[in-house]
Amino acid sequence: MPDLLRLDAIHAGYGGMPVLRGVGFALAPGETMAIVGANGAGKTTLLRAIMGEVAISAGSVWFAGKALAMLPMHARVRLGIGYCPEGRQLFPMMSVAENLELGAAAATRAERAARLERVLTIFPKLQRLRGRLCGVLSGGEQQMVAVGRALMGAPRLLLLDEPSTGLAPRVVQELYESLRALLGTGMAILVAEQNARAAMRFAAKTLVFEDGRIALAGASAALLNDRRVIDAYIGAGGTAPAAAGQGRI
Amino acid sequence: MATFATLVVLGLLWGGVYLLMAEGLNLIYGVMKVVNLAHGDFIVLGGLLALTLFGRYGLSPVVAFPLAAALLFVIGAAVQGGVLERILLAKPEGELRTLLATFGLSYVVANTSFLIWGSQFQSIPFLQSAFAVGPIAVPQGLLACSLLAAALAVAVHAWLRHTAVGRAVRATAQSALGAAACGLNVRRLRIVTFALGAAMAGGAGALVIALVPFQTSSGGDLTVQAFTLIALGGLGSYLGAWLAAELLGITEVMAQYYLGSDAAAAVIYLVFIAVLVFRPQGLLGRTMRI
Ligand SMILES: Nc1ncnc2c1ncn2[C@@H]1O[C@H](COP(=O)(O)OP(=O)(O)OP(=O)(O)O)[C@@H](O)[C@H]1O
Ligand SMILES: [Mg+2]
Repeated sequence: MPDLLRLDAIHAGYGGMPVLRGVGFALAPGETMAIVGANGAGKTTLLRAIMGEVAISAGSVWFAGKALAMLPMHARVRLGIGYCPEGRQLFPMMSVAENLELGAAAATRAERAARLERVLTIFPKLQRLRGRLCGVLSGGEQQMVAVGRALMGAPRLLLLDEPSTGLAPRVVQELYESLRALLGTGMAILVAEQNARAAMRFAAKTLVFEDGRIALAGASAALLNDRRVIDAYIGAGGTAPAAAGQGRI
Repeated sequence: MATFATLVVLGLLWGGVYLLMAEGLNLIYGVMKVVNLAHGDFIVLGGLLALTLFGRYGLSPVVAFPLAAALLFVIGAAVQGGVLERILLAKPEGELRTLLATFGLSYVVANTSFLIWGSQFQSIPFLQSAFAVGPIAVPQGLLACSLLAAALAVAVHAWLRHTAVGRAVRATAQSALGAAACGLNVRRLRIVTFALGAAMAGGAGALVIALVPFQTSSGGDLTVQAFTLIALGGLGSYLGAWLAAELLGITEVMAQYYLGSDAAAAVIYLVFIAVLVFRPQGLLGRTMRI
């Protein structure tokens, strides 16, 4: 299958300070991938580079056979990349419904209504919160709106930056279960997480980032039992619950 | 009692005029968090354009209003698209540099106006009679300005709430990154916003010059006045600006009547400081943002 997303040895950073140093990988349609690594490893910067939020100094990003180099973020979104940035970036003074509808700004009225229906079936809790201002929602509710808003653009690829931040473990599990419902539609998902275990249980493949480079790459199931990964990112006792968790989900 | 009622009515009407001169600044600040220091000069430019249209062609300020607004819309779009957008991209401190750029712009506009119109105070004699409502004498020009200000405030509010572009502008104000992630062209929205804010300043000038004489160097004072008003209302707050405008209008008219015009300016700033001491976020700060 041709790649949906491909990064060729990209370098990117902030004001001349390099962060990503030669990152390359590819993602096929329908694939799921977790990006894990310590604080400051460059996970957020990777997503920003894909979205054009930080400029790439070398290498290239391809989406659906198109080089993204000069495109501003909104054009990348319109090509079919959904983006839930760090900090969620909701519109706090607007209602849940308005936030969601803005996610389909480029769609027709009928498409927007159909997508809204679908997002509300994926996150049924949002149904009764429709009229509520986003600024007063709980963290978990806000995260549902953030993911829902990205889905409103009917993306072919969804990028999620730390969706589990600030959420109770049970809520994290709920969120990933909802994301699981999206699989099989052909949409690819790339999720960057501090919470390595949750992301790796969700995604089929994992890239472990260290200092702006890919240190380890492979099937999540295998890496979840890799001593190096457990020691560095999952912590003691990681193996057993991880294995049990895989059975459960 | 009749005097008091007259003063209140006059104060409310002047409040409308102050609102008219601050709405554009409030819109731009609300969306971009940048104080356009050339705002007052845009007002003066609109006013002086109306003056020329009146002097040469006998056009009334009401006709000059849309023309001045259109001219400033074009200027505003060019400034945001050609200058401020580029500066904003130069992170960090893009906002601070933008502020300095608008400061420079204010000189450019003021000095260009000076070359065209000279330095004397000028005004348009328009709707200068008053009519009586019971014991209250209402100046026609003041009433016209105030009504237009209210209409404009309501129209802008409706535009921001109920149109797709308006909603996109509000989204950009609340999170530019979030808006871009929704596929909205944030750059273009900022250009439209700045152009609209400038157009509102230009239109305001075309009307207000019939009430208050302008000279080409009046811009700085008008910027401070408009900024005071939006800070009092709660920067970027829509209803807050309206409330603040009426509060300042009534305060000024009362102070002028009871204490004299020299004291009035001081009283206004005392009220401003007093409000900010007790409500640093402004009258309606944070709760009613666009
Ligand atoms: N806006 C910025 N300006 C300058 N440096 C930055 C900026 N954002 C991040 N960095 C630096 O880039 C490096 C990578 O940061 P990044 O946010 O990509 O890490 P991360 O893997 O997402 O970390 P975390 O798990 O804490 O979210 C860090 O050293 C960070 O200090
Ligand atoms: Mg991060």
